[in-house]
Amino acid sequence: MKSEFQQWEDTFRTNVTSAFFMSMAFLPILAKGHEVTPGYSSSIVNVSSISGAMKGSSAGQPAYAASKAAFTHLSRMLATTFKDTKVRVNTIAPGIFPSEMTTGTSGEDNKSNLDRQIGNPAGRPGHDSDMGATILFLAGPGGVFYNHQILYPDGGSTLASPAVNN
Amino acid sequence: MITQALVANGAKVYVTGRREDKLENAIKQYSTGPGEILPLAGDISNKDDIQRLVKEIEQKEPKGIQLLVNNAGIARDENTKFCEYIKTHTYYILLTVERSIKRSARNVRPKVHFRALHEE
Repeated sequence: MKSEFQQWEDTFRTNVTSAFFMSMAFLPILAKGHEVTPGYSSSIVNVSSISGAMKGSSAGQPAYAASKAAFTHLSRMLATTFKDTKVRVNTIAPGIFPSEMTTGTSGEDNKSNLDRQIGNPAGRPGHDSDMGATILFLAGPGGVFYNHQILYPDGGSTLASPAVNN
Repeated sequence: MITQALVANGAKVYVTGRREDKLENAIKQYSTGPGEILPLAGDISNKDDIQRLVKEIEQKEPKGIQLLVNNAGIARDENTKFCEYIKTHTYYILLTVERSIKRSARNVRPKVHFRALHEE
């Protein structure tokens, strides 16, 4: 009972509600950009989190984890809703990456360092290149046949801990 | 990370967030080409501001855009989190909107490599 309603509301406002309104608002110009390059279709990529699939509270962060579960499901709903517009909706649900959220700070380059032991099968946090490879796959021409997918660059976190994605 | 990967492959990327200093910093540090990064300050937790962003992009990109990345995320569980290492901050909200594409010729299908989408 230590958490406050306002904290939950702030979390959901940014992590779920904003993404809904952004997606709806940008849909027309995404649809307009469809086939500007023949064979290439527009898409939305939502960056959710494995917290939305893990059955635990993500180390005592129930509002965050619940918001990411909602965001992942929002992505499914948007993909379904937008299917006739040809705008695809895919999701990236990363595991632990260095960020201001997981390390508490960032340097002048807007980057964060994470040097502690990570309890996933890979034994390390995610690297920039892990995220880069995922977005290039989804946004590149090789990704145009993918819609309504959820990718988990997580070093096996959701394999080792109870999660709903397997 | 996402912006860097897209820019390195030739995309034109608009980044948005409330903190203009963060946007300018990102642009200064990561405008390595061959694509480009452009700032678009705004608050995506505000419906009016979202609609203003759409209008701005409509004017700047009359042919539309090809990608929207919803990457904003915060955690506000500092009262209940039980791992010391998890601190919570708003990290900068990043929207990337990619407009490819200046094609070398009409009706040329994109080549397999991502960069081919963005060739002049």
